[in-house]
Amino acid sequence: MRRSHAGALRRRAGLVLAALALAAAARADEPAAGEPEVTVPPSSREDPPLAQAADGATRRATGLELSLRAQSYRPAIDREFDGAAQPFGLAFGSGRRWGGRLELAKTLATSLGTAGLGLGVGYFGASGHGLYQDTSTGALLKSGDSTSLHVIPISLFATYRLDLLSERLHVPLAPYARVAVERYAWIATGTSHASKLGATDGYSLTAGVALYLDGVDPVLAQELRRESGIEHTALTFDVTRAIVDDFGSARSWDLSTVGWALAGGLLVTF
Amino acid sequence: MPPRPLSLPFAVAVVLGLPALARGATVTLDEPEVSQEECLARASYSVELSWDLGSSSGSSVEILGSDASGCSETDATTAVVVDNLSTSQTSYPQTGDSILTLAAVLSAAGRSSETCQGSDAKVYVCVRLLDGSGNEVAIGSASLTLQLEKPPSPVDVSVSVGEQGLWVSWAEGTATTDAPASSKTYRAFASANGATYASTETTGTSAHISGLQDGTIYDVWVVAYSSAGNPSDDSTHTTGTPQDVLTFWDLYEQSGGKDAGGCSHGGGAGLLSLLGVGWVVRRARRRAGGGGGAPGQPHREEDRP
Repeated sequence: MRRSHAGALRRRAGLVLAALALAAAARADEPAAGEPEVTVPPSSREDPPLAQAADGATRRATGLELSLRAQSYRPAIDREFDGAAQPFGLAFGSGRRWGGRLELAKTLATSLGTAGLGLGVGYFGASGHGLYQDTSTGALLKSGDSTSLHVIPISLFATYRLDLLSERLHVPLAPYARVAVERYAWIATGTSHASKLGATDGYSLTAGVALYLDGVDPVLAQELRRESGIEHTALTFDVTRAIVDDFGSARSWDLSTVGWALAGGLLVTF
Repeated sequence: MPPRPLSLPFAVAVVLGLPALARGATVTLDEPEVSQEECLARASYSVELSWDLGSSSGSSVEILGSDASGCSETDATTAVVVDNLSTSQTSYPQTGDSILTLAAVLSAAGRSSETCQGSDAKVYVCVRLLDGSGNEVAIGSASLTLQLEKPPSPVDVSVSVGEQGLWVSWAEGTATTDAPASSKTYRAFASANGATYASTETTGTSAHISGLQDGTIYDVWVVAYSSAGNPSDDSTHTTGTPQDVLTFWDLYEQSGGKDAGGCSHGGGAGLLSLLGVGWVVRRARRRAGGGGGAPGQPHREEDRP
């Protein structure tokens, strides 16, 4: 008897949390109360290792990969002034901001891991209040007018994921690395002011790890593969160092990340 | 004793009247609420309405004003205000019609000249279909609310500086016996040198007044409006002075920032990098046979249903 697809997705959400806490936990064989019993293939009943796909096939797919990531970002714009000024900090504060990225990659090679090339687009935004000078004290005070910086990073990247190890060691983890050429399109806005548009180029290096979810519920993984063509799903965690300053141009500002940018997301391979 | 047969005229009346009773005649007023200001200008305020009397047939239509729903002429103060309209007419006034003033409706409803003072009140406008003998075939009515109460003044008014404008925020005032109406909309005002500027009307509790002059001190206040548009008394007055505001980009430029906007200044480096990646992609795709699949990679046909 097959479970409903919606029920399967709800179950997966719970299992994702369980996977984070108990990466090695095996799927419970007994169905929950009131839930129809699931017919599990014999190969899956024997508590397969998490690194192994439900049907025992290799984890490396040869199709498309879709990734949705939340990433922290704080541009190094103020670095240009060596502490003499901090326009970004004054307008937007010093906190770390979060943005999102959507990436689509094509797997090109699968020997000794998965290598692919892809294109990504994202959004980071910072909003604050414009400042005015107090006529009596000369201090800069916060006005009611708003000001914003919107950044749309577009990247062309090559990625390599060492999932061969996870297959052989039966651990649902695969480290990965990514090199990207970046173009950050940006727009600076303010109430009653004309917007300023621009684009700044650079590159980025990323290192992270993917936590495969296939082994958490092999039956569900099979269902997803059959019904939606999803070969694998994984949670990803990575750090990125982006150098985005028009390759050191003397006429460009610095949209590089301050320190390392943290990211977490979901990877789906087809 | 056998039952007495129905008379023919009565049966006809029942048959003709049933559709109208079943469907119910409807009357719709373009403005079902009248503010105090409009009430005070009742001699020139035009009451506009439309109606649907169903499929009943008759010979003429008339409009009535009344102090009771249904415009009964026996137990309410009711009078005809417009008569002899064609049965094909479904709204009033139409081209060529004289306006139906609020004063006429109020007078028909027996309202005195003090009607526009005090608490909210209602009068009714009815549309009646008459047959050739002047008998009522169908009638519908709509209420016209005289919304006379005002809302309380907004409180906690504060002003923030803007460039050639001011940002005003406030809180809704508490209703009193003097000002019991609900506040539906607000408008902020700024005045200096004899000129008054207003924000757009808003349902929120903040507004921007634009078109002001930097460096000028403005007197600022807020007014609340009831659903019919009755204004509250002014809130407490405060002052604000628009000033030149530095946006993030202004701050960057003033700090001596070297970027001037526009496209990348990285020369050909960025373009070359993109071309390089494109070349790598092309090579890789060719090696992969153009389809992207790796040679020797098993295709999981067995997984397909």
